[in-house]
Formats: sequence, structure tokens, C-alpha cells
Amino acid sequence: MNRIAVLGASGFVGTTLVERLSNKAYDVRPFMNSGRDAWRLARLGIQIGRLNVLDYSEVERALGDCTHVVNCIMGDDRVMIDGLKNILRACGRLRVKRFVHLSSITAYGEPPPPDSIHEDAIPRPARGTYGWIKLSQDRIVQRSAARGLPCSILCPPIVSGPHSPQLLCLLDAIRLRKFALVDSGYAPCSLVDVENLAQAIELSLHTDSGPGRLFVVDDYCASWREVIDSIASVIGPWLPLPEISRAEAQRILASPERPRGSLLGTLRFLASRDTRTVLRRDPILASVESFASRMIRRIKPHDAGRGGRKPVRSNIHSALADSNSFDRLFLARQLRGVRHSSQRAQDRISYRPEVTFERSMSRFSAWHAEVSGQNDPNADLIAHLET
Amino acid sequence: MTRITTNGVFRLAVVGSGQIATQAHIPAVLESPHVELAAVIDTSRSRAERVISDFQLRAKVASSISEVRDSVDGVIVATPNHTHSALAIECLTLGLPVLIEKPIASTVADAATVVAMAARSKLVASVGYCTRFWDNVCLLGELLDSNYFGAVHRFVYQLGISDWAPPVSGYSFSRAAAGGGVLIVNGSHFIDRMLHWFGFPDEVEYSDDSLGGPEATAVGSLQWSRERALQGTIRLSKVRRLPSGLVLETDAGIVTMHESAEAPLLWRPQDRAIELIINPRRPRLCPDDRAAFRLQLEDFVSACRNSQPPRVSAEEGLESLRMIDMLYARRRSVHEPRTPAETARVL
Repeated sequence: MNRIAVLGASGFVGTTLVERLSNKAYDVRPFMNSGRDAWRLARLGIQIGRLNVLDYSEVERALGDCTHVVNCIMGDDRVMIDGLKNILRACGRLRVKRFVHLSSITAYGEPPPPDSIHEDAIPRPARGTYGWIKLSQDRIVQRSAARGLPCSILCPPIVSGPHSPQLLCLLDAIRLRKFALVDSGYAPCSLVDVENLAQAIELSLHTDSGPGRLFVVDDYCASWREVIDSIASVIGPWLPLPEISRAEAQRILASPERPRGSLLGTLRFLASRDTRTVLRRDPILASVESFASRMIRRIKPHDAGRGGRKPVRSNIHSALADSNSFDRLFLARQLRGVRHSSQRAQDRISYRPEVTFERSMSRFSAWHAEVSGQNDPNADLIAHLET
Repeated sequence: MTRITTNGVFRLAVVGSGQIATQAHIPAVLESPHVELAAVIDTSRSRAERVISDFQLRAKVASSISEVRDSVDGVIVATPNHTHSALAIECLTLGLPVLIEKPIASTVADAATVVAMAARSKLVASVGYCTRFWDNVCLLGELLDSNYFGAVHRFVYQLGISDWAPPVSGYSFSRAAAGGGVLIVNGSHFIDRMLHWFGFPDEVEYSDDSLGGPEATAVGSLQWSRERALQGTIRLSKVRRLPSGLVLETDAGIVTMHESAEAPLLWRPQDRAIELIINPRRPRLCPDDRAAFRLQLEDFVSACRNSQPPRVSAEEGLESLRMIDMLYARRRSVHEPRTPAETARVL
């Protein structure tokens, strides 16, 4: 009888995997560390083990009766490196049938090299980055594979679907006006739905894919514009989004991270919607703010007329948006420019994505609308909590 | 009857040395000049000893309430939910008043036994719904009682938290031990406030995402039709951080109270583009959550000494549990679509 240990089971991918395997009547042993984020997993009503991977004897005890081990652990560098070494050592001693490791496409670097369409490209992550840690992990796993432990390494890009932390980060960045579309959003945005990734992990448990990495992506590589359009129902109030050129994005990423104080920066801060909302609470400041807004509205329509088709609001926001405040992570991701292929995963583990890009984004939007109360009959009252 | 203390200081035992004891109840005891921590009781002596050492206490370590029966004047029960009622009954049987961490029990039958036992023994049994001591909750209660905003027509209460550390024993991952999930563990504070302000609703609907374990998200709809025409929604999530608080639609406009001891009441009068902040014309008693636990403790001690009812009685604890039980009984399951076929059905 096979028994599958899922380490890092309380995370986004781990929970989805445990749910999938449990539904298919696998014997699953989920393990987590602190349990702070385990509430989604706990609702399944299955026993959840606690495991400190930095304690080797604890690891060996926990994995004692498991035949397969999946590693979805996220943590600090010690957990990621020393913890992984403990897990692999225990897997070797216990002769587990297969170890599946969740890596990341960021192991190739940010931006990844153009030839990283396929797995054979040479990874070049910057030292100290998350990609660097993931690459270091991959090498540790490959060394264990060379010593005879059957291993699989899966590399997902941004993982989408309901609960996706990366999509929620994107929403937060949009809401805080820290997200700008680069070059109108035509760059590719590599995604994999969490169900597709869980499927690939499940397939890897049974199939020898060799010690090399496998890219796991959706069937269709959408553009950033398509991603934004697909969640328009969720981000409606913040549309249209600020846009910048590729050159501007590169300039921001090359500039020092901490913005320097400046009179212009202060004026931009004062003009931001959040600041104005606070100022409006004071009657005197509210009248000053109202006067300033009327002045801006008088000026801006002329600009809009000359500038073409952009709506007035977009122009105002573009003018007021501090380009240095744009989230660097999302700028960097839009500069990746590579459409990764999961051809090798298709060939070696018969990976066939179950969830299309459109379905994935619909599921995310539907889930988000549900959880945020967007469809609630009392949504008008819920909106009062936002301010 | 409560026993008379030797030096005027109320001697207290805390049962349980987990998260809620160490983060809330013991600090509250240490802050109060009227109370002395006489004993820490835990089935794990080593855990109790660690607490004594961490807080540098001179309290006694015990593994049962009967061991300290003669050296304490009252007990706080701060253990996993499914143990509350048995420990409370033990205290009352031994003649000790008890402050029970919420919920009073994990079943209505057990809660009713505690209430009956408290009545029979004439001892104080209070339930730890500490948000009742928040200044804003007290103020809103007074304003609602005096009909300041006119009739309340609708309300929404939303609580969305993530990254919420489980108790030391991890009991809240077990539905049986916790008595449920986000509704009973996190939502019951509002349920208590809601019943205090509006009474028991006439109709309820409820859905959550439990697949056998404690639910992580829950939505309840409540309707009052007999004594008042009021409709309310409760939305709870332990997987998504959401702006949290209460919004009331009243004759006089919208009243908002964010979920925090420090949050002011915000009033947006009908047909006026203004927002008013309402503050009580008295000193703040409860500037933060920590103070709420101290005020709750002092209320319990005062109730014991003066033979008066505590702010949150065992009867009210039973009513909250009855409400929660009614919601769980009407439970409709909602779960996220997983497979393409399920997704297609939902979309």
C-alpha cells in the first residue's frame, strides 16, 4: 500500500494536492510546520501532522511509513536548504519509492534567459534571490537522485486558481495603484492552474521522469493584458490601469529601491486618492481638496482631447502615479518575456492540463467575488468597511 | 456563596497554560491589583511549570482543580473548547466561581448543565466574551438602546483573518474538540454581541465550506420579523484577510464599527455627504484588547464579591451556543468547484 507524505501541506499548492489525493482515495499524510495557514486544509477533516524539518530524527519518524514524499515547503533559507537535506537523507534511509520536489521557474533567473522555453537552458538566478534558493534546492535533489533516490523536480510559473496568493498579490498591487501594465500588457504571463500543477505532481508520483526539471504550465500562455481582462470583474473600480513602456520599467528596476524624498514626490503623495480620502474628513482641508480637484478637472479634459482616446481619469492617475512606487516584482515578471513549454512534462509524465486558462481565471474571479462579498445582497453595506 | 478572601485580594487559579491563558488571561491577572494568581493548573505539569517560570510567578502548579480547592477564590477555565463544561461543573461542584473562556461548552446540552449547576450552587459563572468590554461596543449598545439612530433595518458583520496562529494543542483543527470552525471560534464574539443588542432571530440560513473538519469560511443570514423588522448577514473567513467590522443601516444613516477595540463609531447621516466620528463623553476604559481581558476579569471578581450577575452570564453563553447550534443545524455545504465538470456546473 502506497502512503504519500505531503510536506508543506498547509500552503496553497499543498492543500490543493492533499484535497485532490484524498478525493482519489490515496493514503495521504499531510504535514505542516506552524499551522498558521492550515485552516483551509483543516476543513477536510483529516489528521494533520506537525513537523519541524530542521530536526532530523523528527523527519525520519514522520516519514517512517511513507512510500512517496512530496515537498511543497516554503520557509526561510535554513528550512529550504537544511530542512531539504534532512528530508532527502530520511528518504534515502527509508528507501522511499519517489521524492517529488516543487521547484520554480524563477530558478532560471529574473528575467529568465530567452532559451528557457525548454528546461535545458542554463539557470542564472541572481545570488540571494528566491530563484537562487530554488536552484540550490534543485542541485541538492539532483545529487540525491545521482545517489539512487528516485526524484522528480517540477517547475511551475505563477500558480493561479482560487486562493492563489500570487493573484491576490496582484489584486492588492492594483488596488494600491502599484501595478502598471508594461507595453500595454502584451508580454506573456506564464501561469499554471493549481489543479493542473496538482495533477502533474500526482502523475510524477507514478512515473520516472528522470532527475531533470519539468516545466508545468497551462495549455495556453496568455498575455498580461489577457490576465487583467480576465479578472476585470474583480478589479473594475481600479480600471483603467496605469501603463508604462518597457524602457521605463527597465529604468525603474535599475534605479535604487528606496525613493528619495522630493517636493514632487510629496505633491504626488498629497494628490493620491488615499491621502485625499483622509484629508476630506476635515472640513477645511476638504474644501481645499475640493477646490484643487475642480482645478485638475478643468485642466485635464484639454490634455485628454490632445492625447487621444485615453479617458480623463486614466490621464489624471497616470499623471499622479509615482512610477517609482510601482511594484518591482510585477514589473520584473512582465519583463520575463518567455513562453515556457511543458512539452517535456507531456512526453515524460503524460501531463495534460485539465483546467484551461479561461476556466482558471473564471474560478479565481468567482471565488474572489464570493469571499469578498461582491455578490452578496448586502454588498452596498460591506463597501462601507473598505474605507 | 463566594468565600471571603484572607487579605482582600482575590486568589485565582487558571486552568490551562496554552495560548489564550498565556497571551490574555495571565497578563490580565498580573495587571490587576485586585487579583493574585495563586495556581496554574494543567494536565501537563511541565507546561504549567514553564508558564510559572516564563512569567516569574509565585503560583502553585497543579494538575487538577481539587488540588487547589482551598487555596483559591475563583477559577478561569482556558482550555480546549470541548473541556470547558466539565471543568466549569467541577469548579461549581467544588464551590468555586468560574470564568469560562468562550464558548461555554461545545454542545447546548453541556452548556445547559453548566447553567443549571450555576443556578443551583448560586455561584458566579461568567463566559469570556471579552469584546463586550470594548468602549465602542458599550457605546453602540447604549445608542441602540436609546434609539439614537432610529430603527435598524439591515446589518452586515464581516470578519476575514488569515495567518491566525492555532492554539498550542492544535485542538481547533479538530471539529470535535473545537465544536466547529470559524463560526464558533471566531464568529461567536459577534454572535454574543448581536444577541445582546437584537435578541434571537426568527429565521436563519447558513452555509460553510466544511468537508468534515472545522469550517474555514461561513455565511449566515438572519431575519427578525416579530419584535422588529431586521435582516442581517454574518460573513466569516479564516483564509482571506478582509476589512472586518459591523455596518448598520438605520433610519438615521449608516453606522460603521470596525472590528477593533480602538475603532471609533463612524456615522454617515442619511442624505448628507459627511461622516461623523462618535466618541463617548467619558474616559476610555478599554483602549485595547488587553484591557478588555482585564476589565472582564475585574467584572468577574466584582460579581463574585458583590453577589451580582457578571456582564456576560452563563445564560447568555448558553444563548450564544444555541444560536450557533441553530446555524449549524441549518447548514448548507458550499465548496469550491475542483474538476472541470464541477466548474462548468457553477459557471
